[in-house]
Amino acid sequence: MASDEQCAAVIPLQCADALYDASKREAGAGSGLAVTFEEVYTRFRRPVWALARRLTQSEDEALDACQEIFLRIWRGLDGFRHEARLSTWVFQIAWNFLRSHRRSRGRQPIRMESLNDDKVVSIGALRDRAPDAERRVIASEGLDRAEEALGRLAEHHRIVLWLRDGEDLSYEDIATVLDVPIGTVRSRLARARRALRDEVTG
Amino acid sequence: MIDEKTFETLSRYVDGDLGPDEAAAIEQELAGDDELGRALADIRQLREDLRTLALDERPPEALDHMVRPLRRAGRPMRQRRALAFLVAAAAVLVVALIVVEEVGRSRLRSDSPASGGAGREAFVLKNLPAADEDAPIGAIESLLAGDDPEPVLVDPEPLEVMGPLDRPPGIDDSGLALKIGTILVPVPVIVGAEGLMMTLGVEEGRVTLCRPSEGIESTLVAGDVCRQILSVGGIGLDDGQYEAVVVRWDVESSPGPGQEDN
Repeated sequence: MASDEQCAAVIPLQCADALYDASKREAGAGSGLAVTFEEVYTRFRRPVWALARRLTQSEDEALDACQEIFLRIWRGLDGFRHEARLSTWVFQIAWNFLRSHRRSRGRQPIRMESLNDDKVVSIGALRDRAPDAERRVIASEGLDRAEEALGRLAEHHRIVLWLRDGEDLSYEDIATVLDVPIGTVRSRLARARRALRDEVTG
Repeated sequence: MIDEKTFETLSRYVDGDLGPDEAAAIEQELAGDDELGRALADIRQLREDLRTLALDERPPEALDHMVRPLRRAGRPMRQRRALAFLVAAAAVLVVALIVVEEVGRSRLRSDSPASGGAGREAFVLKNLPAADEDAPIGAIESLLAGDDPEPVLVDPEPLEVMGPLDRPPGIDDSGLALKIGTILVPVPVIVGAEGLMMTLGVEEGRVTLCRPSEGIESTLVAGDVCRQILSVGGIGLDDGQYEAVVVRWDVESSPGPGQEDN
């Protein structure tokens, strides 16, 4: 479990669940949710924003989406029960809204500019040899490339990749969020990883 | 070309999802297959990249601003209680309208030359019923608008007020209306379409502060609304804050000096 200092520094999801678990213990079994909206917002503003950005691919739309998602969280907080993990519950709300939002708008995935194939190199191999400054540039280019490649994937690949690799959710939690069997998560994640690798390496 | 099944096994291997036998088998394959080794390295690298992207993400300050009313509002009222409360509030309003009309007639009578001088209007708060669990609770005794149209603020205790949620015909979906007597005043809100937030200050049983909450642009003159708030009832107290509060207008006249002489 992450320490308080680590939580304050990066606010990973494990901290959000740790916060919730601690509050639940404090409140006692069978009680209602002990965390406040303020605490939930503080812990989940980054993950929800990051997910909305990946799925809408627009900062303006992500901002509007986040507002609606947190409004739904606020409304639902009183009825939240302990059967689900807090992070799973929050991501479920976010995913359900973002999915329906896209459908209602009939949006097509945004096509980003095609990559310059010359820049597609073995980042890992170069990183070990490069001086610090150069290493940072290369790392940044690698991140940009990963970001752009992710944006070109189909939505059902993007979401499963982001939840697993971006937010470190377990297969079980991803299955709950997406409401699919865990076997589907395994196969879909493998296909998504392959698609992302193909996009990055050309 | 790595087949689909092997790639899935590799993907699960990266996540530690394989049993000991499966893991040993794929490790044996990895030892003798460069293509598989490169795929493994790429998967791990991309995983690291996505994790870095996620942790580097910084939400804009605009999001904090947009969500601020929710953060200050505490928890929403439960639907069942809310419904019961709104029904009760509606009933109070109907009674209030009748009383207001009667008061108006009374004032006309007392203001007339024949009444012996200008009447002084007094408002007395009636508590909202609190015996029933589902009934609104938290009505504050003697929470009364004073006569002073511009009260002096002395460290008032703020209350977040949401509602009432009347939506008159012709009002855009993005806006709500605050009902003041029989007048519906459109008020824009920034959080969904759930309510109007006002900040009230209460001191010694008097409303000493009344303004739209921070971040809410109001097209009406807040004082026009606030001077007509006679009482405030609430649903539930949570750490000293109201989950939801509704403004009501419940007045009865008491005889002014001129009337006492009659």
